[in-house]
Amino acid sequence: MSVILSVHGLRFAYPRGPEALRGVDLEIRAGEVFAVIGPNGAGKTTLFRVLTMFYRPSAGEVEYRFRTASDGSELGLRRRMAMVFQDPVLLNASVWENVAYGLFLREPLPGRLRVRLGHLARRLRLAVPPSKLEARVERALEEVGLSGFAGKHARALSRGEAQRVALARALAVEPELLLLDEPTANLDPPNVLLIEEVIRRANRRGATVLLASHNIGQVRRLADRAALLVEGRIVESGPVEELFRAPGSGSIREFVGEELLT
Amino acid sequence: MSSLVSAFSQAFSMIARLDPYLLSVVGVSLRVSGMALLISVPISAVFASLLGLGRFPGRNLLRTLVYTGMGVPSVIVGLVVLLLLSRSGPFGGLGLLWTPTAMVISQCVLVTPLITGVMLSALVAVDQAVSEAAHSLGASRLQRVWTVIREARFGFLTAVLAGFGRAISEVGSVLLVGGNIVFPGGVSYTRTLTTAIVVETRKGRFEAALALGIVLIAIVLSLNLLAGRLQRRGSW
Repeated sequence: MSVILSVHGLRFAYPRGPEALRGVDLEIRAGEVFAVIGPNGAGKTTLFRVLTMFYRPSAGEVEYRFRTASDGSELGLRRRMAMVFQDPVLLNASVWENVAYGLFLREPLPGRLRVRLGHLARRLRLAVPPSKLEARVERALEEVGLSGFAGKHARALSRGEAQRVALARALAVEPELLLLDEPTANLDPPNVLLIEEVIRRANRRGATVLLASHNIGQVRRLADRAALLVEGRIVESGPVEELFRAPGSGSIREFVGEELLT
Repeated sequence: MSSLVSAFSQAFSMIARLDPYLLSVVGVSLRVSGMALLISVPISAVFASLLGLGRFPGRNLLRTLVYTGMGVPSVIVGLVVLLLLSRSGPFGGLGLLWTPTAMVISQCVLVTPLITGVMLSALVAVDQAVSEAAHSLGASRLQRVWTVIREARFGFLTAVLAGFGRAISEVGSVLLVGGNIVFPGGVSYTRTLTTAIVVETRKGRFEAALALGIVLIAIVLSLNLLAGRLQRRGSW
């Protein structure tokens, strides 16, 4: 399996703060679901922020090897990724606008105008077929089970629905690497199961998934491999089943709790 | 009490018969304040975006200056513009004093800090996470800035309304630099709703002053109602 993302000696410190990442090494393979587990404050979110280039690392390097065409620029690379946060951050607009957001960012002006004009024409009851962009928005909404929600305002959604819209927005851009930072924290079981199923399907369609999670059950259900991050360092990593069956160090045992190890 | 009632009834009859003097005063007010707003809104939007989203030394000092400027009395602005445009002032040669242009200039100076300040507050109030979410979905730097500005759009609308409200209701600066001039035929040249209210009240023509006041409030009220509708629709 080819490597899609390789991270070497990654370090990061917040201004006037302690070092949050203290030499992280990782190799993510194309097409896998890789989970990063670890206690609160271990550096999971910081790691994701560095990987999405929101923060610049103070040392070390990240190499992206995406399959699809990219000009190699920072923006080109970033546009092959999408991230979903623990707390859904939606724009103050309709569900449709939110899901279309990432697609609009990538669409040149004439294309954007065509979509807007098409929208307007359909409001005037003219038979204009939906554009590719609109079809993708519709598909993404179907994917997360929110087909009829396009016209709703993002503020009128429950937390679970909002998180599903955030996931649809990330899926709509068909990212090669999908970063999910505790995507189901604070959600009820039906929403958790639904989101897990969506992640599985996206992965089957070819997206590599990087998942930060507290939920060991979820990691076992979804991930192929996992790494335990403690105080900014990877202390253990490997295939999920091995990792939980025969942890090499006491760290996993400590983090997971004895009873969950089988 | 009866004089108040009769003032009101005369005021409404003036409005109803579209009194030419009243119309010309309303026209000057709307033209001057509208033009001032047209000039100052884009300038304020750029200032607010730089101060709200940019990072450069001296930013906090500039923010403080803007917030201070929001409360500067209009007579002081009028006085400064008067000195600049008066014959002995640096721009005296332009011959702008006692013209609607001078009034537009002074209202621009007056409302730009107010509009900038309200826009700035709206931008600062947008959740930091919005910018990060935009970044994580592939927004360029410019697209990120635009996304944050779009999130602040209702605050921007409030800023424009506040600016218009202040411009159309101020007396001090338009009186000083406009001169409150009415052509001999009774048509306003630089007399606005507010300065006309001052004049009519001094003359004891309360019904005319009241009619002008009602029109002024009606203009501000209808704009606010329109803005409220836009905000409630929320789909823009």
